Amino acid sequence: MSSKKMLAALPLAAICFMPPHASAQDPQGMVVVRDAQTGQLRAPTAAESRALAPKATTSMAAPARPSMVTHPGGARQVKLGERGLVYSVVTRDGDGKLSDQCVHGKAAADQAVLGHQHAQHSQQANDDKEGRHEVR
Amino acid sequence: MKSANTALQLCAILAALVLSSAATVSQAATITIVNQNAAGIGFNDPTPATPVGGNPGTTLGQQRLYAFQHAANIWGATLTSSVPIRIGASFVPLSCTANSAVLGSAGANEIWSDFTGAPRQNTWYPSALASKLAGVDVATPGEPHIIARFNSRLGLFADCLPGSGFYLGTDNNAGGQIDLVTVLLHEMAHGLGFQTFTDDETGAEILDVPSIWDHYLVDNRTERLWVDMTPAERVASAVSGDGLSWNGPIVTAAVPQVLDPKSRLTVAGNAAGNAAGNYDVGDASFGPPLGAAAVSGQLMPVVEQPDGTGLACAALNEVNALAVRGNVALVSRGSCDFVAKARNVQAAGAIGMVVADNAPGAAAGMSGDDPAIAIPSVRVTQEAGNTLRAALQNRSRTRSGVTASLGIDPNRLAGTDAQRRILMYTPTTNAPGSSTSHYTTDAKPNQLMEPSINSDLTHTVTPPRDLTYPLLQDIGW
Repeated sequence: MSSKKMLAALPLAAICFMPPHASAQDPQGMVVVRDAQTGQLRAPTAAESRALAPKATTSMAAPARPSMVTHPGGARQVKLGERGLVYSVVTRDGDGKLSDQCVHGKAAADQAVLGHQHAQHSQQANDDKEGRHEVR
Repeated sequence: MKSANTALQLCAILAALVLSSAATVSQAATITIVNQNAAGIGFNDPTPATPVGGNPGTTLGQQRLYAFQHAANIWGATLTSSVPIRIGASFVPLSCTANSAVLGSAGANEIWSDFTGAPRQNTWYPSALASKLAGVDVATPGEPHIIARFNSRLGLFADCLPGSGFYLGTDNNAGGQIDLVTVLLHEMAHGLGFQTFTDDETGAEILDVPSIWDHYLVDNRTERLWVDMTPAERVASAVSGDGLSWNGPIVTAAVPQVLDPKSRLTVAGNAAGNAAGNYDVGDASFGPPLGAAAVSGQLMPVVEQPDGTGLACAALNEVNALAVRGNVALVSRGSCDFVAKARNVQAAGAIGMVVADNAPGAAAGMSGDDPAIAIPSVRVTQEAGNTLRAALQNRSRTRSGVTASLGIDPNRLAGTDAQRRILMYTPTTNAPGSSTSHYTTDAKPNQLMEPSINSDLTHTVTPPRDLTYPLLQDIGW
């Protein structure tokens, strides 16, 4: 059976819609601040709330270090989130030719993107490093 | 949270309906794309779009979603699992400049070990695979098995690779654009388990536990597995050139039906001297592939540069045309595309082309496309080029006494080790983020899971064209 026929027979991917970050834990909670002038606890102002809010509130945020959870029965789990991602990066040379590379980690991906302009003058050397199939 | 739970329940219901409607469900897996974009952006972008290449969407968001679904369908029809796989997906702004951009990223969201049904103890598995093996969804409730993020600004803004956006058709006819379905198939494979969770650059395992991947990654010089190496040994093998192979039995069994014989250049003749012998070469994506019937002729250099080399970036002059006519042309890399060089030497009557590199490094492939090119071409290292030029010093205007044969090695398959196991990507230079979680760039034909996506790929993940699914089978799929 051809792959196209197989696809026609097995429409097995479903699309679901969720609000962004829908699975995140509610970052809000009971927050109080000590008033600098009165010394009394009170509800934070809007500005104080923003300052106290966690910088990353999504379920996808990468933990600083992997932390392991051991479940009843012995199963162990580590959440990788962003740190497990493999990135595909594309660059365009002076002649408009596109080439891409797949790298691990956001830092390497950003370096590949932002370092490209500096590397354009030595494009051939870069191509060799990355083992691409060059066009020139 | 209520809306999220409701959405997940709807997902489950939809997935169940899809499952129940497929008669051969036991031979497939359900992959659910969980749209994590808010209204009006990403998958929900209302910008009008014209249907393209089999993608019937009439908005940008619809077309993105259809392309995602198409790629997921291909994997869903290939894999088997009783547990629906959830991909948490979104189109969001990612790093960009006018001439470079992150296309997207994907990976496993959680990894698990020592779950019920785990084939190997004390070993990390990606959560989608762990769920298949356990027969139940092990993932944290509400969490996707795979995360996928793609660039929502690509090609659409002046500071984000303008003019080179995603091709959203599903007919593999991207032309000069970036074929989203191909990129998705590649990135989804990483999320399904085509990746080690051990750090390539430090050799450190996550919490001193190896990945299932590491049980099949073998140093082909010592026959030691990554799982048995020290971190330092893993790091050294990751930049060994061609020192790491995939040792899984399903991939190795499929290699002979997928990979073609390795190309080579054989040099001989009375004047060859020290240059005589076989040379490793990089293949060209243009011109006819090398075959059992080698193309042979006198090796003659193009000479038009002050240092005695030749670039062949313009029509050959009379002397060079006479030299290469009916012979194999030796040219240097640089200044113009490989296809331009091939065009010029072919127009002058050459029967083949050897391109000598202009920088150190291994013999790499040559990309480009021109259906009018009818002669074979190969690329050799800079060192080999120097050796060949030295042997051509004493020649007539039409003969060198050095013959070049462009053919194949019947005993070796392209991109494999001596035991016919496929090599993994281990460049000798430690490029940041370079990952052994890819096949070698020496495979022929090009494979989906090489570190760069080549224009000749099809939307195929199985033999006889591709070795991606066999590797996933090796680790437990």
